[in-house]
Amino acid sequence: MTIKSYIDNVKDEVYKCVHCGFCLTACPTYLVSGQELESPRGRITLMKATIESEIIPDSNTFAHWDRCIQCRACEPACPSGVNYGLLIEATKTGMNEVRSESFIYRYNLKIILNLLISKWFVNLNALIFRIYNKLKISQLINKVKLNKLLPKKINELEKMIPIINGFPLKSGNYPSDTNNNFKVMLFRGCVMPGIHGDNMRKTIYLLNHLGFDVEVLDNEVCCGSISSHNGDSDMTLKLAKTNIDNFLQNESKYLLISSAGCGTRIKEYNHLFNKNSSYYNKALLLKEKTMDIYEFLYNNLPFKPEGNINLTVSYQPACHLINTQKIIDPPVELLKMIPGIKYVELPSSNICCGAGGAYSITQPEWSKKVLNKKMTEFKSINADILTVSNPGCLIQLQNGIQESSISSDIMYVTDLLYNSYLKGEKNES
Amino acid sequence: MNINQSFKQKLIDIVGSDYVIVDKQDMIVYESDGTHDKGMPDYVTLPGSVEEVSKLVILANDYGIPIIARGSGTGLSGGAVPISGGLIISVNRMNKILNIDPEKATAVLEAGVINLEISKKASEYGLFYAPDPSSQQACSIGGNVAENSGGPHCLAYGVTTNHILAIEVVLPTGEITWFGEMNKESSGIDFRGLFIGSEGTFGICTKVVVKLLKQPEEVQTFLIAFNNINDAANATTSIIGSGIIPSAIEMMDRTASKAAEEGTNAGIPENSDTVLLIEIEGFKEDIKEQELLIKDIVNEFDPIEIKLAANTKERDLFWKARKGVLGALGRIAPNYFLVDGTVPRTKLSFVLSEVNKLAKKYGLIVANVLHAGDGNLHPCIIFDQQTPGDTQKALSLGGDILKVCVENGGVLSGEHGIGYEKKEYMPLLFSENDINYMKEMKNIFDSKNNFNPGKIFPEMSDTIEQPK
Repeated sequence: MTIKSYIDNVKDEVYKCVHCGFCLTACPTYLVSGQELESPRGRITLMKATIESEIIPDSNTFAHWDRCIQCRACEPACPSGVNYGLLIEATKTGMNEVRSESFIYRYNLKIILNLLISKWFVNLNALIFRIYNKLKISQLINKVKLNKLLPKKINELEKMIPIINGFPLKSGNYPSDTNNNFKVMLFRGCVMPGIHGDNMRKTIYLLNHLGFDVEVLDNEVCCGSISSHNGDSDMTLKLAKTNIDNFLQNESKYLLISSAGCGTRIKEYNHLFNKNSSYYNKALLLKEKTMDIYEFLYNNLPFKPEGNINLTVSYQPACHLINTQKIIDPPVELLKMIPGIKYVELPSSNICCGAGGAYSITQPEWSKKVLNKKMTEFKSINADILTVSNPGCLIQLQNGIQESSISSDIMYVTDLLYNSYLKGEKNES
Repeated sequence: MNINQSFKQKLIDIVGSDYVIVDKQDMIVYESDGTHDKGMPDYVTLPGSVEEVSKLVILANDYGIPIIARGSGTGLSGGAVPISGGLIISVNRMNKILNIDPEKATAVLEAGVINLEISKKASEYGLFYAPDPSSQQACSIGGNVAENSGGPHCLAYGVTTNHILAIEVVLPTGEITWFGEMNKESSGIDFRGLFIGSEGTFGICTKVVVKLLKQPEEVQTFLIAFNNINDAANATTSIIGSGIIPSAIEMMDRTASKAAEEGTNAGIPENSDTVLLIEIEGFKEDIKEQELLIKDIVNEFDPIEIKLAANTKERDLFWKARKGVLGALGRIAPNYFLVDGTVPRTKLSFVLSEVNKLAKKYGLIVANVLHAGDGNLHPCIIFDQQTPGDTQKALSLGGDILKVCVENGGVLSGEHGIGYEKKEYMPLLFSENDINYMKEMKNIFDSKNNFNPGKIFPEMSDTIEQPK
């Protein structure tokens, strides 16, 4: 199959675009470049031109599609309701097909994707990074001015090494002290449990404190975002089927997800299957059962947080939470419930921070441009804490905060809720 | 080195290689704007300053290459389409709000600033910028100046030219100059007024000084569903006849409101035929009084439902439905030809029924979206370019609709400009003499016809040789 035929498959969706341009200012790469080529309308025009054989996509064309962060902020901005996610995914799959003609590309991608979704690899890396953090190697490099000697690329990558929060999260049962018999599963995902183990445990303890039993399945696998963003549809299908089967078998009421990207992928598993396939209906069943952690907390909160937190707090929503799952208010409303908090809105918070899954690694230059804009906006509000709702955002913005030497803290919304519920001082009134 | 190569190198010398596009496959995204018109540019540049714009203009002059200025490319008359090739100068990188003076209530903006960003920033001082084209979330102030854009709220506030104090422009000679005054209306011959609405044929606007207004104390928004288009049109006439001037009265017919509802779930009732969106603003007591008055008037026309926006969120949703309606038509077919004819308000009902008769005759769907308050029709002809013959049919229908507008005392364009799409209809409204005077005016600014050639004037021969 040629790339043209892949885009042909989603032709109806392509032709829904009337190129009105409303999407332009929703697109982070357009905002930092002013270039039509780096906008949703531009990317769709290139797809249309491919279908109509006006162009034969070359490496240059591929570059514009590659620069899409897939934040999907163009979708809510689009009056025609173009499902851009579907378009870019089909295009990416086609691109992958073309690139796979190169043996090296095919095997490199397979190896990288397989490593990224393997738990032992992620945990091993987390361990290495943890030692790296603990030994303060980063500061050492700066101290002995080694950063001046290292090549620029290595330096950039070194800066991206995430801060590891505690040991990896283990699978198993985490019951609450109550007899509510309200059990939920918490999705681990592949990257988050390794690097943000402590944060995930806080989410579990928070759920327990609120009276919910939690189970983390051992047989779950990566949600498939990484492979589908990179156009490997075979791997995505395999992962989706495994997860659908395992999650549907579990008796828990809901599957909760604390990483927005995974949430979108799982809620959209039905896109992967033909409507006649049995998995299509199963995917819809799983969708019913799947809830983002904030959606769940907001709708099922048995009592409000009481611990005071006297800080100025802002929030950067995850793109896949607001643009695709349309979960906009719950995290903010939950934050506002915390006594003592002064909530300030982050300007243009609906624009992506440039994390985009593996985007910060595959497109470091563009990721940086988008991040810099975000940091300028964050600095303007002088908040003590920036909260996020997704691990990618946390790593990216943590990086941004460090680079711009500001003293603000960054954490998940659940971390702050945990602090208020379990640690905060109650008002004696 | 051929002309092409040396020209390209000089472009790079001026703006840097990151901001010059010459790859044919890449330039395809600059072929069109918000319309279905197409034209392949020869070069695309994104300058970062007025000095760079000036240098580009001088360079293009030297080579005799036509220049097409482009903002966000959301225009609806083909104004930014390089129909005979040339150099696109896109101002999107020049997008800084340079200054807001809350005391004088003015803002100094670069041409690429997005319309909505002005009001967003100005709201920090309790101010706003009034002209609000439906594409305000994406369109640039430079483009607004070129087209003298309107918008729903222009009913009460007037169009772009009423809100611009001064503009910095690069003339076709490359000279950088200011038109207008920073503080008040200009004295002497109003070059500012002449330039606004010249659709990129007199030069490129690079900076704009706009007037800001104080945000109203109270705003109330109605969404009213009617059984038929006549009732809605007559209600509009009655409201304005009563002496109330709402800040906006917008109308969407059945086809349009269905598409809008699908896209937004704004709450338009299922059985509704035509919808009016009415907004009133002012002091609290006045608004309460006007609200009752409007309800009384509307009730005479047997409305299906009168909805009042409960809060800002709901108001924004009502407006999202209205402002996104053109794009929402993509749910019906991939192309539209939007007619912008404007008629005296009292003729609305009659003209609309004529439009629908014509649509039937041609066998095409027309969705009617109107700035009803000022008689600005937007019959939107929906078609599919892929269906052979449909494009031609749509264009002929558009022409017939414009004829009806002019016959009923109307004009060709309310706010989108003549551009490429409507230039052949100019003789419907203007005599040869009128058009010749306009050409003379153009000649004063751009004697070589180098700026946006092939726009506004019917069958104007483009004498400039294209570089091959």
